[in-house]
Amino acid sequence: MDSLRHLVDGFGIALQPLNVLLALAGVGIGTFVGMLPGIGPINAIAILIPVTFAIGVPPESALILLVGIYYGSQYGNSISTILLNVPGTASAVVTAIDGHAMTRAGRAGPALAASAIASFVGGTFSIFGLVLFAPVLAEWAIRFGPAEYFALMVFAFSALSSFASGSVVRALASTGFGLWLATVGLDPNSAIPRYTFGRIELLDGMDFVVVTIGLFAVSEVLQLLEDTGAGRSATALTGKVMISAKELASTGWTMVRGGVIGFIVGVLPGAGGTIASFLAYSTEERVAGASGRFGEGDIRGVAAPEAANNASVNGALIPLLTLGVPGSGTTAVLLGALLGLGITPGPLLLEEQPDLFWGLAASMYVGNAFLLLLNLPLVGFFVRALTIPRWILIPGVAALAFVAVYAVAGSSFDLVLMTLFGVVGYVMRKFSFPLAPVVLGLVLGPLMEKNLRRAMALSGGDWGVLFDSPIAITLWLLAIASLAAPLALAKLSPRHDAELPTTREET
Amino acid sequence: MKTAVAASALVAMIACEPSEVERGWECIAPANAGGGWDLTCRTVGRVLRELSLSPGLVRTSNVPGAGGGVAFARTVARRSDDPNVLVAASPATVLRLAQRQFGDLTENDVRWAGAVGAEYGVLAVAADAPWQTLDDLLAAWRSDPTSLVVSGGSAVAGQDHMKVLLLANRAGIDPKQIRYVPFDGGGEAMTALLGGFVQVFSGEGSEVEGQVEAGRLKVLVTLSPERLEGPLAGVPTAAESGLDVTWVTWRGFYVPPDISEEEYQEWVRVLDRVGRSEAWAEARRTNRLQPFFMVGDEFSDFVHAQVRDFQAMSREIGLIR
Amino acid sequence: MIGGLLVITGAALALEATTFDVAFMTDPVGPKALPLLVAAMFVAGGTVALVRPRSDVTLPSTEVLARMGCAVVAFLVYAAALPWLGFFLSTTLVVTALSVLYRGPLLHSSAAAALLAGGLWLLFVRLLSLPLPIGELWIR
Repeated sequence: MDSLRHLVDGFGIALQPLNVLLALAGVGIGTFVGMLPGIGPINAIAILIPVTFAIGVPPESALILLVGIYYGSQYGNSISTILLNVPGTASAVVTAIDGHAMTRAGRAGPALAASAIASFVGGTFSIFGLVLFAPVLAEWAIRFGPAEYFALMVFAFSALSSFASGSVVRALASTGFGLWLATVGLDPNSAIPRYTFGRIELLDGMDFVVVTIGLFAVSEVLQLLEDTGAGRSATALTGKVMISAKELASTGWTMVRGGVIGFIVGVLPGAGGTIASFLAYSTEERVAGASGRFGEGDIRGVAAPEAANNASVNGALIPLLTLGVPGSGTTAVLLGALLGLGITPGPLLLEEQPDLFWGLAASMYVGNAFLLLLNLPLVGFFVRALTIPRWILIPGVAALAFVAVYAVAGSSFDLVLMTLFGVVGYVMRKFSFPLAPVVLGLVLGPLMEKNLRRAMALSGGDWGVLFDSPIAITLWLLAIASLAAPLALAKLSPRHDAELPTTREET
Repeated sequence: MKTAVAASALVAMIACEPSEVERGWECIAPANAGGGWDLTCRTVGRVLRELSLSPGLVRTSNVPGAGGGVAFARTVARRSDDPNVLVAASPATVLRLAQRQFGDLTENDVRWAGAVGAEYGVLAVAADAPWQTLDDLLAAWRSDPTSLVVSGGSAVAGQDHMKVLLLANRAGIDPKQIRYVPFDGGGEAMTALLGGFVQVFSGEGSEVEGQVEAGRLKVLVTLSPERLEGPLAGVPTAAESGLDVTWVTWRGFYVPPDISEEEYQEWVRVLDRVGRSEAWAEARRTNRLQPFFMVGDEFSDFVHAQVRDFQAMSREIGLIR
Repeated sequence: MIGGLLVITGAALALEATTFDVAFMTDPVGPKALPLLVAAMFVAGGTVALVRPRSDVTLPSTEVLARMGCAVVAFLVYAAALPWLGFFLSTTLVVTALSVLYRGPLLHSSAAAALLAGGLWLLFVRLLSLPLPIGELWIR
């Protein structure tokens, strides 16, 4: 058990006083910055990188600080998502659905607690996955070509029905909107601009922070304005602040499943936390079947995506550390930081600098644990923040979001876009068009399109390539099963219910 | 009690943060943190500080968007006479300017200050591929131009694509038949090669070094005037195969157009000092950049020539009309 | 009503998509494919909404709509005013306006807004080293 021995050494490094301090500081600062609506994990790390460089500690320690910041900001993001319905990343959008529903039902405390614990569980599982399977998984990830990615995206797309909240047609329209947003910008396969209306700011496409904050947060501002006008008061804080043991137990398997899904999806470069969260949520919803109240505040709807997206963080580190390939926006930033620190990730990193790798793995576990220890007691504090009167809280949060976006983007254009999306979001909510599929479309769109076109370009126009490899075929089958499942369940349940009264009548 | 702890923690954090509101120099990186431009800004900024050439810390700000376009437009529009700002650039910027991707803006809208390091284009194949040299590859390519697929991290008509087209053109292969598939960055493009989905990878030296050292890739050619330093020193140049093709991905800077001639020359002097310093030589090695040094008017002329070349190439291949 | 909007949008998108001409085709699917698909989705969704409308949509009263309109205007004004008036002033003004829209008392709102603006400045400029505009109006 070579790996195990290395891991123990790694813990030795991770538990050095300096590194413990840095992990704690990283997690704390990360949570704080991540909480600010408008600043998601990518920006949090980007902003704090100079600080890391400036401190001048050895590379392993700097890395530990950065990873702490990463975890912290993911969790901070969850806080603003659950409490205020302001998701700062696309993956948080999934948490927002049930998380904010729970807040509206007065159960913000358990939601936050579930988020923290699920993140911890997901993170722990995936760290062990990282440690045990890193090189193996890296090899496996290489075999994912464009055709396989496309199949994966189709599978993820099949998760759509879980977010339909009633009308599938409306969900499709929402997804269509998201897909359209995804096409805005310079097309990489042909270098022509699409739907940019001549504006240089749109050449890169729609920034999903702008879209997410606009659609969710600004529309929430408008919605709450309507509520205030109609005299509906803010929700009272009922129920316990902490999660009950029974509730926690009910999420046990959810967290495990979410963690596994998140980890595996995270390993694939480009797939990332968003797809992981959507898939985990959708899987849970299907597994729960009739007993679930997903969409209205089912705690499993918080546990699943949170476990998944934390696990995907560690999954994404695998291609980064073993191949030097960043798997997502955040890992790309981490890669830059690593290079700046003089570390070259690649296949030889494991062999040449085992201290780095194992020390990192161990400190991620430590950071994960700190996150839990730090934040659980603070849940009560965060929840009390909701009791601030609406006329202070909402404008304050709105201003914060606007300023954050402006500070990072440096131009008013994004703010105008955000406002526009806010109006669109409000109208969508009014007419019962679900918002989550927009994000799914926005994230899946480019991945599906790019990979389909790449696969076609590689095969020279042969559509059969999409069904060539065993991986691709498996994914297609999963996709079909995933689409068929809700239909099958729907057919089974009414018959089942109808049988009981008949039997009773007969006897 | 809890509020007090939180409040004092907050105050402590704010108080301990060093104030960077001094009127120092600013280096604009036209991309997000972690990218090449960002790294250039931070590294050069650090060297400037070490050599005491700059008044205080050099602030790096990120202005991403449109592959450098947003930063370019903003510098020209809003800071055209600011003597304290430098913007990181590379041929990626110049290529887009040549292809008129920044609206009406051209390379004449800013002043090109200098470049202090570079990477060179490379072509790599799998370690177990049947071709040992560039000539082998070109022979296979000539006999059936559509049989090989190239991956690269930049979009169609971007740097990685242009490298291959240039080489093909000079080697007598019809560039229109070259099959190029863009990926999201060098990392993914390289993975496509490792997974066997493409046969050739077009990229930069630093991207492949790790894989070469691990023995998983072979680099067949570097598009540099001389052989490279570092782990790729054994790779022949294109010239050695009789093809006069180079692709210099220099890392340099431009400054706003309306600063005075004296202020411009000051920048040139500063970059000159940096380029010749030992501190930079070391930073360059850590960042795995090759030596490349050109400042002032010489550099400006070089950039203008590059724009003309890129335009000619793009038109020849049919990328622009 | 929404249905009609969707159909029109879908048609507009499709029209725009036909202008996506490529000189140099590298892949058989092309840049038009997805936009056309999206346009089709819009048209389909819009048609369904036209044919089977939902009647349970309650529009808010004119007064509330006016407030929401004010909020939107406030946001747009904020976007425009930030580089011109500068961070502190524009934030204070806009936050006060929003608070008032939420039925907050005027004096308290402006005080809270000023405090918030100050706090945000501290947070972003001091703590995070992200520059916030001082305002072109004052620099001249």
